[in-house]
Amino acid sequence: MSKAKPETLEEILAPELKIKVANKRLIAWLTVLSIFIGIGAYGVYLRFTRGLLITALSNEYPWGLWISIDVLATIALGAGAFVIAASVYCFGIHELESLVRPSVLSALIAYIIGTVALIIDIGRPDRFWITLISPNHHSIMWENVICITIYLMCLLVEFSTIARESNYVEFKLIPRIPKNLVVIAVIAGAILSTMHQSGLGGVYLVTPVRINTLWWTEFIPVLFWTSAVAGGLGMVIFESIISSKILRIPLEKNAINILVKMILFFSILYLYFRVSVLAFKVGIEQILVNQFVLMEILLCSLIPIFLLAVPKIRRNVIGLFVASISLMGGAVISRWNLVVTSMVTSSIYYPTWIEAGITIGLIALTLLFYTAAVKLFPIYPTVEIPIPEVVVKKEVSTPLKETHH
Amino acid sequence: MNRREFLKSSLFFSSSIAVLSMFNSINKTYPTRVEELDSYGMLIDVTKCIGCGSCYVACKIANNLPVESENIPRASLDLSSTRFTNVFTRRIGDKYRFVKIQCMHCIDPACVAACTVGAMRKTETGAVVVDESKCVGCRYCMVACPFKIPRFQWDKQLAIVAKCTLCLNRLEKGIQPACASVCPTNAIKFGKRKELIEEAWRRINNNEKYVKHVYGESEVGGTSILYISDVPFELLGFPKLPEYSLPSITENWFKYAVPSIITIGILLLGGAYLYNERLNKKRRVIYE
Repeated sequence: MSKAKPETLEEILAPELKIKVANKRLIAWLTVLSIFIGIGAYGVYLRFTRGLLITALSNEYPWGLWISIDVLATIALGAGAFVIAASVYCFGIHELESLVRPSVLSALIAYIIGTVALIIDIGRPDRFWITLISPNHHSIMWENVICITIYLMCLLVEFSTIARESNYVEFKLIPRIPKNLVVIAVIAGAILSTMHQSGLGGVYLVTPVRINTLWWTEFIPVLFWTSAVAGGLGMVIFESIISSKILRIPLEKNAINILVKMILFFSILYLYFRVSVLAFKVGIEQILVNQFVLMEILLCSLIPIFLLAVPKIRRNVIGLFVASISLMGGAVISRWNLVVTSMVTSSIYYPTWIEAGITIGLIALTLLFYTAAVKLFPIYPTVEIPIPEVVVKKEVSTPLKETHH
Repeated sequence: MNRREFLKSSLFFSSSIAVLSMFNSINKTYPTRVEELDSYGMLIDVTKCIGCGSCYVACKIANNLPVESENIPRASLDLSSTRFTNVFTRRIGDKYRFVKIQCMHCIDPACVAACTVGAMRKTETGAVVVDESKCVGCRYCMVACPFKIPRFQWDKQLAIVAKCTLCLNRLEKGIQPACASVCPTNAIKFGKRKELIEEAWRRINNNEKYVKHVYGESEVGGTSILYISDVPFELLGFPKLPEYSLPSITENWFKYAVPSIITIGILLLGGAYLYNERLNKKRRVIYE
């Protein structure tokens, strides 16, 4: 990250003192992040030199913290991008236009981190490319890998339109992508996302006897899809609240209102499917008996539905913030439950410190990427600073907006 | 909310309902997708096994696997990437029974359907084997296997999955698997699966002591390894399994869910885009 340039730019535009404080904060933030990234990097070094012995994974628990949190949950929280992009580009909900950029950026970062985590997790990281050339058409996992790979390309296409507007990146390096291609990428992205967001849960369709009956149902894909969409949109709300506080830009009330409606819709769907599956399969009382199931249902649906359905709480930033955290937590917890809790037999899986360190390192890396991208690319309206010498008036707008003139 | 907004949002929500309804096309009844191959198998008679561990030793030698340290009793060792089979002691009341555990070589194996890269394959002989040059070590087969058989090389830097191969290299030469060849009490009988099932029922019908069930005849669509016993199989630690093959669940996913997600997605999103484009064009004409 080149830090010299933005400093000079900001110095010209804002009072000196303010920048000093902001820079100090930024430096402190980056220091904290790099400490965690350092811990994670050391963990990755241990993992590659000693193999998976450093994890708590075993024959009873083939998958653990990395698959559930770093791969499944991270990818689920990136689901906001396809919903918002499809709403804006296909359904013409232009109120959400300002959220396309942050959500596409966070999805891009989430998918990159998810892929990195997957490569760390597999036994032969040197062979990961085999998944792309050696298909198994009966494997849902293979379908997911392919969908995620193509979707990553779609995200890059969507992101290229943002990157071209950056003041810090050479124009010629990024090819100009026609608007039609972007729309195709958005449509393909929504289809591929639906396929792999549900398919990642579909991985567990083949395990009706292996995992606990509280979690196995034919509707795992539906539960995964609805909780990913709700959690991903919750993540978008979380991001816009945080960025509005840090960058001191007003919260987009109209956009948030639409997001809230969507989240309510998907959370209620999730609640309906989760509860009816439990009721028909193992009995409704299990919700109260098993604390993991209860937590899943509370965080994914009941808490956010309550918080967002009451207008007074919904209009309050704190209420909104708590709801978004609950949605994200729900998406994370439901994945953890499916991967780890549902497998519990006699032994119990506790991740080792190295496993946890790598997870924390990857989260810090996500935040670092996000911070860097916000500084480098015109993600939020106020961040874009015109270069003083050559005052180029450039409007922050998605290509679609141009058709409105 | 004006009419346009209402149209937009109803379009959006109906699309998600449509996608969801497609998921329901995953059937709830799964056909047993078992084509009866003329494959090999083994019949293990639990009543005959004395737990000597010859099969364990023979397996080690035939597959060139490293030997364990002498201090640990063999019967306490779980299967591992260097231990494809072992005989376990089960105490039922005052009786002891010995159960040999190895890969069941399912007729429609979940691991083969699961494997991301197609490294697991079912051969014509009936053996399910891992292609060591392809396996990426994702461990999905370990999650998918209803018998918890595939083992990961946890102690290696670059690790893959390993398991019993039904001694495929021996089968190809026309020799029976090592474990079956050394059994001193003939508890393991090697042969064609069809003949073994007949043999199993002959033994069950001729002797009162047997449980009237051949484990593996219909479990998850049938397995190449069959067990008969005089003690209920649940007490011996065998999982109770459905009669449909597990890959038939995912088969439905690829047959119905994926095509419908793609078609509905293209029609709905493409349609919505074209509709909105036309609306925008019309409005532009009016403004001009």
